[in-house]
Amino acid sequence: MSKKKLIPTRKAQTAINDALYIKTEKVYPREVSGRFNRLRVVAVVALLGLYYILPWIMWDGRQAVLFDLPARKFYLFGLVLWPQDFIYLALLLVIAGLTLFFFTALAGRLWCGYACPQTVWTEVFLWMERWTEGDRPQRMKLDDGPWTREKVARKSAKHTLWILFGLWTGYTFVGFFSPIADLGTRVFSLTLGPWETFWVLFYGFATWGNAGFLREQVCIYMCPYARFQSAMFDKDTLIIGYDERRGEPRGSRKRGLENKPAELGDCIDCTLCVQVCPTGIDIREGLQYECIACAACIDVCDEVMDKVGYDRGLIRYDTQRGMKHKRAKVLRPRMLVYGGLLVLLLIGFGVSLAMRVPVSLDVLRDRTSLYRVIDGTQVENVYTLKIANRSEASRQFSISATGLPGLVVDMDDKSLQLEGGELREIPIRLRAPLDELPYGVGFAVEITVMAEDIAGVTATTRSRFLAPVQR
Amino acid sequence: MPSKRTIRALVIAWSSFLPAAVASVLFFATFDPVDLALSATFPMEISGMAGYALGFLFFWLLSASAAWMATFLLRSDV
Repeated sequence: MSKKKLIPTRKAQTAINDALYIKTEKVYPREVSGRFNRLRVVAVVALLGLYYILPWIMWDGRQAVLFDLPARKFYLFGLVLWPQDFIYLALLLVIAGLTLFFFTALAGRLWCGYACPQTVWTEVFLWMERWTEGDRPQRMKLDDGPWTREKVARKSAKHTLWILFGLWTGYTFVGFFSPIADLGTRVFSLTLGPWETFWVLFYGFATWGNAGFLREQVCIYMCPYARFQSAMFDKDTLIIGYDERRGEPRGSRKRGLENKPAELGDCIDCTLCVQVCPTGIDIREGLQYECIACAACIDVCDEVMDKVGYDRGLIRYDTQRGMKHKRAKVLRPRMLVYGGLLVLLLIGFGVSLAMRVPVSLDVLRDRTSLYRVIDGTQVENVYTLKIANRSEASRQFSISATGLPGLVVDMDDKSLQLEGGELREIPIRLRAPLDELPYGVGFAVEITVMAEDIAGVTATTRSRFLAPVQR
Repeated sequence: MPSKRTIRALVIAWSSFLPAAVASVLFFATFDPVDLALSATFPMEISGMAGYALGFLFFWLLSASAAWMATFLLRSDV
């Protein structure tokens, strides 16, 4: 890290090495209210609402969002995706990654502060902790005190809530892979399969452990993004910073002073910014990699500044340039590159999804025989077609072939009615009159499968047609 | 606080978990475990779910062994 940075980053270098092997103290985040906290509550309700409600939404008589692994089908509302559609998943992941880069470069760790599952579930677990064990001082006192009847009652209430919520979370998780209503009836009749039981418990346990106990340690020790996000930062990235020039020298002062003491800065050293921090750092020491940008310190400091009658924003969202009271640049090469790529990929994704054809055709030439000559006049090649009806409707298909004069398709089963989502292998024979073949032994042919009841649902695949040498 | 050994084991398990997940997705998007079992060179009968689970565990074991080897070679206390 260069020395030029106004916001010091020294802790980022030493902390990992030291902290990994020393006992970390339990963090008791103080409750906070304010505009950024409201934003987080909105995000928590929206995201968790989505998670818990989505599997219950029905679509055309089936679960709207279902990842059916045994059948190798993903249902997304009106869309059914197959392994052949893997490109969409890959594209989606690349888009998600780029979006993360874009917003990190723009405004720092927005993801960490408002949208990361770790943050979101920890927030809910903290609410439950507050309902059962009280606010920060009460919780600290409770942990320090002896095991009284009240402590046992409060702790068991907390864990009961946590475990129930964790199990519900695990159950919902499995509900994305196995129809959730049916899963529910099987939970109550105790006929859950071994893998389902395992995943419900595993995911429930992971939620309980990560959101209840590990909390900020997941961000500090386990999260790869927390380690590399600084690579996307520059001097124009919005970060949460403490205005050192305004705040220092910090110090407490008497209440109700008309003018602030001349020798002191604006920071009254109330340490509330440290108490509210979910990762237990002091933002006044500068930007640290532990900071998940939750903005709790901004909310609480603004409240304090209001009380003492100073301007808000001693701790604020600002850029490094802004902290020096210079103008920040939003449009810079980094943003244009991330943004440009993102827009291109989004357009590509949308177009290809819109143009996706719900039928696919693979052609395998029969390897055991090259060709067969019938009655000395016709040449026959045998193929196996793999046709997948990638829509949900039952459809009638027809098969045709082009590429040679007089080429005809012959097959045993003329009626090709494929159910929604059905994959069928069909042997077919292509025949061409021998005397009309052009010179050569191998020819390119195109085999086409076409839905008869709907226009545009068609797929064409090339293959080889072999014939004897002609003189 | 866990010992250095435990921490090393945890770091190996966690850092190999993520690549194993990615590898499983890529692999099973391309191959169906049931079909693969049919074309094995020895008799093998396996259900889809077991195939996915075993595949993931195999990838995890593989990347964990690579991670273990890496930490072993980087050991500073020899």
